[in-house]
Amino acid sequence: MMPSRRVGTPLVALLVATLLAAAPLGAAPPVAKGAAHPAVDAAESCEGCHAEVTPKPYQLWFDGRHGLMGVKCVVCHGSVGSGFTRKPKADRCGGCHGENAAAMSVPFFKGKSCFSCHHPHALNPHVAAAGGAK
Amino acid sequence: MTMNRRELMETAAAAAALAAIGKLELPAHAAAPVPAAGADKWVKSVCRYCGTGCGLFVGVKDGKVVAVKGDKDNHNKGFLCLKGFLLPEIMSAPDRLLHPLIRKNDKLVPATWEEAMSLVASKFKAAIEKGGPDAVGFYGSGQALTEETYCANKLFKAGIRTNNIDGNPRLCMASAVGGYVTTFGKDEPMGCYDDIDHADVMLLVGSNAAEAHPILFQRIVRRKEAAKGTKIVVLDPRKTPTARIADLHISFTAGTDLAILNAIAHVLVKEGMVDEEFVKAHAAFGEGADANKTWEDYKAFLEAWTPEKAEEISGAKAADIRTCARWFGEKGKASLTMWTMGLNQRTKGVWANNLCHNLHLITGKIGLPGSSPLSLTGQPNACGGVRDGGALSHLLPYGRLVVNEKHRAEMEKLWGVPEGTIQPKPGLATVDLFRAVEDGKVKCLYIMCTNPGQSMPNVGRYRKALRREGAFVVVSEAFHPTRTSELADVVLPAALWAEKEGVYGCTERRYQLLEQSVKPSGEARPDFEILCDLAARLGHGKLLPFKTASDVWAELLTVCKGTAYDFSGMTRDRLKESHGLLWPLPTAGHPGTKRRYVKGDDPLVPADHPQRILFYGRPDRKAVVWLRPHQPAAEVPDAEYPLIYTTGRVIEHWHTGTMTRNCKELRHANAEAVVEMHPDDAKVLGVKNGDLAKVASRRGAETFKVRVIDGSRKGMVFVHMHDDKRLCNLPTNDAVDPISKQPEFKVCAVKVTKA
Amino acid sequence: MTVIAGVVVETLPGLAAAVAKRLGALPGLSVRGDDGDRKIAAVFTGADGAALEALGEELLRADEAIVGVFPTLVGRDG
Repeated sequence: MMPSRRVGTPLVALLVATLLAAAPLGAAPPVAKGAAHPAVDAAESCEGCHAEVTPKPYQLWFDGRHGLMGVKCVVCHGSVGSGFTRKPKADRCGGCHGENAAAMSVPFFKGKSCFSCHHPHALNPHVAAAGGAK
Repeated sequence: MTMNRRELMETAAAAAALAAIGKLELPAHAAAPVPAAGADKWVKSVCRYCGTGCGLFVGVKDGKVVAVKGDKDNHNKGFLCLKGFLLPEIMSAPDRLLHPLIRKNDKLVPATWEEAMSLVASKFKAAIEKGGPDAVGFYGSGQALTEETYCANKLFKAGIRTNNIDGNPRLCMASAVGGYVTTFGKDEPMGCYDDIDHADVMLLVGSNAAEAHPILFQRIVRRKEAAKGTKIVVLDPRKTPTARIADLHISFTAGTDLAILNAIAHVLVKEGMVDEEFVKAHAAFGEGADANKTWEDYKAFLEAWTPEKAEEISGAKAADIRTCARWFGEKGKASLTMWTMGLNQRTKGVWANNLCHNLHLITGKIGLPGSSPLSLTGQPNACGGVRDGGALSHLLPYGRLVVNEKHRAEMEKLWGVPEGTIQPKPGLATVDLFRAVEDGKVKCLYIMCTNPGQSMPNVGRYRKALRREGAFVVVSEAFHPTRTSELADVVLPAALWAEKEGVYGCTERRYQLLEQSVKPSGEARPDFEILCDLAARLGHGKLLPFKTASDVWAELLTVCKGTAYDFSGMTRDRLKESHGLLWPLPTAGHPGTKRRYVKGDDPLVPADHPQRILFYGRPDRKAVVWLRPHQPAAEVPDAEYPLIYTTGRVIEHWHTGTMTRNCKELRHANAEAVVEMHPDDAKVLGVKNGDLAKVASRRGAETFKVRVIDGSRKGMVFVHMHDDKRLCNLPTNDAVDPISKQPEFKVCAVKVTKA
Repeated sequence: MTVIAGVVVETLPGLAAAVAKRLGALPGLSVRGDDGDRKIAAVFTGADGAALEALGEELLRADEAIVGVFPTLVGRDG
């Protein structure tokens, strides 16, 4: 959450990093598909840990407009435990981008999501590469 | 096929663009922007949190709040911050209080409304009978609706006849009020949010807008993106998220910014960046309390305040101060200063505010698009309800003062009470009010919509006072337990936000109506109803004869009429239609006033006034440039308490967290207060990330987990202010500014040890 | 391959109509309406996303009355 780099590695980060290391190659996310997010230490922020365990999405988000404006992880991904959403839906965008989110229901967008064009973490206002972002 | 597909795409593209500019009605099924939540109606309202006052729509389904969406026709252009977006969850939180509570055998137990209210009334009556009207008090909130605050003010000042009515804006905005009143004669900014869109230079002093006012921060970022060359200067000891957009971040020892502000003025004068004509026409000069000085006196005063001297005192670089002054003062550029608690929560808070105004007055950079001193407010209705409504112990509604005989007479007439009803002596300001509870002078205290058991400075002392033998404390609150309701003798369940109707007034003199979206939860009642009930039980029912909040508003339109706050053209119907209106707005058709004191914009400036501006707030029709030297904080570090202690916000939480902690997304993100410190300090103390550290001042101590951050300032520790378990206010200082009576939350001395 | 995009062009207050007139003359841009104040809806047709981005930057640079160019919906044909 701070603009500066964090110093040291918090406990939780270490814990998740350990889980990550134990996962098979290619299973990049620290949380298994569909699984709940593990419980967290209340003194920790999402970004504090994810800057280290998922540095690429973190950096894309942090450097993008949403990162600058403080639209943080919880807005799209929800809470921990069963409240966690791995793949956010457009309704999470609707609080601020109501008309754009509503426009997703026109036939043209069938099968597409906001993230087909806007990189899900950079969330850049301009179009992303064809086929959506990875 | 290509043609068809292409046509389809063009149509869709055009539709999306037209929809985005509001020129295309989307089909009904698509109009609800949050399809998953499936709201079946959308009700216009305002965010419950900060003083930005973002417009939004509340999505309701089956009588429940299920979603919110930003109001694109309001100043926030449809955007909400993460707290606002997550508002629906707080409405049905497990901590909602659904029935009254009464303390019996030292336990709070459920009671009926009748039991609770008759107990409150009998205790208040007995205290008044025995000790006179000043044996009771009221502590209100910049979060209550305007109509609610007005009812409390009228009941206490004109009914009970005590001026012991204050509110939490004393802890956040009192120094800004003092600054505006001493410089311009009237409270509230002359500028507006629109100034951000025109500013070439923005000076953010003691404001972490990125976390405290995210949507205004976004507007600042957009301005910077749209106008290349826009300069942002952030004056803050910490390298905050706001400093990410700074072209120049000036860090300094907390509590020394008066020296820096005077040094900026020094450079402006020395380098000829002042507007002599403007000064001659519009500025007076003063020292102490009187405007008894001259332009020459001021220049002589500034001689000593060189950037080098400021560097010596503050640790800021003289060269940076010069750069800041040169950007600010460049002729033809619009300069905007914005500040928050870093300046206000200080024993020299009013002076610091004066010094910001000085910069604008001597350069004439005021009352022009993009040029203004704009104080940012912390609470959604500190301005509209408490400041404008005059619900502080020294104020009467709409710029009137308790000590002014004429003002009292005006209010007595408007309120239909006999001459001499309103006491001529100001009541107790917040810290004094709680001290009076401590020493038994105030026997009954009614606390509405706020959490002083957590938010007072040196809070340990006042927590004890609230539980003092013989003290009777009523708390009206939507949630229980809070750190205040746990101390109460009676807790009244208050309706929350979308469960009631009323007006909020935010930073820029913008008033907006929150319409009722849903019924109150459980047995909860709007504070407006509770106060009318209490008035009737105390024999003052005639003073509050209102059936609805709308009735109160009708009376308010008569009370503000003819004052410098005149919004008498702002009928309820107009508020319903509009997406926020800025006063002065004295007639039905008036569009409202973006820039106050400015000819052609402010209706209170005569159309034939010879100059572009008229500071009509003061009798001499000038604004005062004050000679205010730097003075240190009430408590500075020494050998025993070697570190500076300061507190502030994180974006996820708001105030004491009563609401945001009831949202699970936010509860799991940054909810526990930590102590942030510089790596060098951590090394000396032998602590690392996650360690527990005890932070102790002369007043109190609390233990926090350590977070080592290199954006911290060496020699200073910073603690998040929202945690109800780890109380950041046990160490803070309850020394107050002698003018504003606002406490110095932002600077005190502590020692930190590994726990 | 062609990119077709809905675009909102934001102008200084009150200048939407005047700017819309100027935009109408640009190849690849078809103006579909304005809000009478500061927003114009248009459809862009061009080679690729980069062309769209370039047009946005060019408009911001060349026309002082334009304060923003925001694609609202971007699709590809071919």
